[in-house]
Amino acid sequence: MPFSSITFIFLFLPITLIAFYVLPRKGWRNLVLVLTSLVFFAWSDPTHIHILFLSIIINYLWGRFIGRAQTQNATKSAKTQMWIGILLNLGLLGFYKYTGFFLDILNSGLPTSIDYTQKALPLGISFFTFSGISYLLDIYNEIHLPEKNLVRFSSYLIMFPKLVQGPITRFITVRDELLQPKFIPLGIMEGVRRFIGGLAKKVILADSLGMATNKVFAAEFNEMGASLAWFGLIAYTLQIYLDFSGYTDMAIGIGQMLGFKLPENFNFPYVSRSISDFWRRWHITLGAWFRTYLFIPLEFARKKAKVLRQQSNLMIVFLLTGLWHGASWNFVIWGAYYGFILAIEASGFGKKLKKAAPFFQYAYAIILIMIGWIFFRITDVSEWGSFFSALFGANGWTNLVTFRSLNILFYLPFLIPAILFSLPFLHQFGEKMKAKGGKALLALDIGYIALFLFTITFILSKGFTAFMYVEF
Amino acid sequence: MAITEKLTQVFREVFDDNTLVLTDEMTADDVDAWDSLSHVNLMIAIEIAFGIEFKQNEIQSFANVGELRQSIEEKLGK
Repeated sequence: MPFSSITFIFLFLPITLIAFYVLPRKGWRNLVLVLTSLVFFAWSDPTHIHILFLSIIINYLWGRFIGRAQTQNATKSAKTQMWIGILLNLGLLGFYKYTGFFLDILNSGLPTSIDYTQKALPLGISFFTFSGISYLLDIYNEIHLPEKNLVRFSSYLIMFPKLVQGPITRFITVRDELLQPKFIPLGIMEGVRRFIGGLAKKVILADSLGMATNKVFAAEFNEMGASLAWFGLIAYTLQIYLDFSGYTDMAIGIGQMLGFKLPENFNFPYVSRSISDFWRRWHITLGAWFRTYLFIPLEFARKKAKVLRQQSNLMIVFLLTGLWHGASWNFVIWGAYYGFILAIEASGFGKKLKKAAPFFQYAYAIILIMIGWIFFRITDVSEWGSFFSALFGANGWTNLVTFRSLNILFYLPFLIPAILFSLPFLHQFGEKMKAKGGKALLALDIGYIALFLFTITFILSKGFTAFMYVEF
Repeated sequence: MAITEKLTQVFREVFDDNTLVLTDEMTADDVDAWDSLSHVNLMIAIEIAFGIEFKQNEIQSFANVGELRQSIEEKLGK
């Protein structure tokens, strides 16, 4: 059940909010959150609900095992339990996400071949296993104690606002609200605004651009002119940001409606001034996860290494960041690409870059980011060459495949609002209006209501067009 | 005093800036080159220079140079 579906907006969310706030005792709220989250999950992925229970049980129990060993000052035993807990989480993720990929690699090197049918991926598994690992490591590092209340813990691990696509949230971030749920009317207002903004970004802009990019990237690159290739790349760059950040806005907004302050995940990544800056602005909670639980421990474990220590650790971390995005070579190469650039920036180039003209810094970053999206979007590595050729004019400015032949001229104007929503100006304008309050705030809220109605109309009419065009 | 001097030296080496003067109120915002990557370099350089070890949860926890210096003093048992 996507956040942008009519069922979610007009049925699931209102019922959840009413149940959450109407029930008399605050202790019930976590239970409401757990039950509604289970329904939310089962709605989209009923066959994997047991995986969710398994993840809850593993992380709840091993959290307590680590905690118990620590209260007995059994440092070694705490460490063993920490590793078992992490391996169980990684085992679950690995079994569902990576078995096929690793068997492919193995089969290509072996004389015999092991048969395997790829299993369907449980919804959100990459996100809730990473949350589980952060919970166990934060207990191990004595940032907080294990949660004894199973309902409260489940509420943390599987709450539906962040279950499927994050933001990856640490237990410590939401602990106080889980203990003492609060009703904050202004928070609800703010959450509704945030949700509407995210919904519009996702439905009107990202999904429309997606209709166009799907056609561009499915077309024959050898018959594509540079104009269409650049449009495809620019549109995809905007689409992936608006889709993911729109989703995150909705997640954070729902969190606010329920009294939680989920962490921010994006900070206008396309106005980055370097690639290390980009990774502090793009998917912030994933970057923070890898930095806290992998990069920093690696750095300290290898502190005696004199040569290229930080560079090699960046390579390792970003290879794995790439692999986290999907079990295929294009994601691994995408990760390696970023690891390599970050290693260069960490070797002194970053310092030089800071002294360059701001325009150069922005251009440097956005061009490298866009090249990265080619690796990300085109999963078949063997097609990269022909797309790059098209991009740099090997087939001329236009060729056989055109905007007209793909029937995507309609989507061209969407680039303008998409660019506006990817830059900080609109957001800053909204914040100013909120700070002014009074009439300015009222005008802003009328704007939000209009945007909401427009977006809903858009969702409904798109349902119709999909239906109408089904025969073509 | 010796600690502050030694710490200043480490800071100057890590951030490649011989004019750096430490104050207790100084934070990462005050030093241009102090980002999340160079912070790790800084902490590792401090561990090696003073022969101490930080806990995982300490590494990203210091609010300013003063807190960092205090933690070093505690670890050295002074």
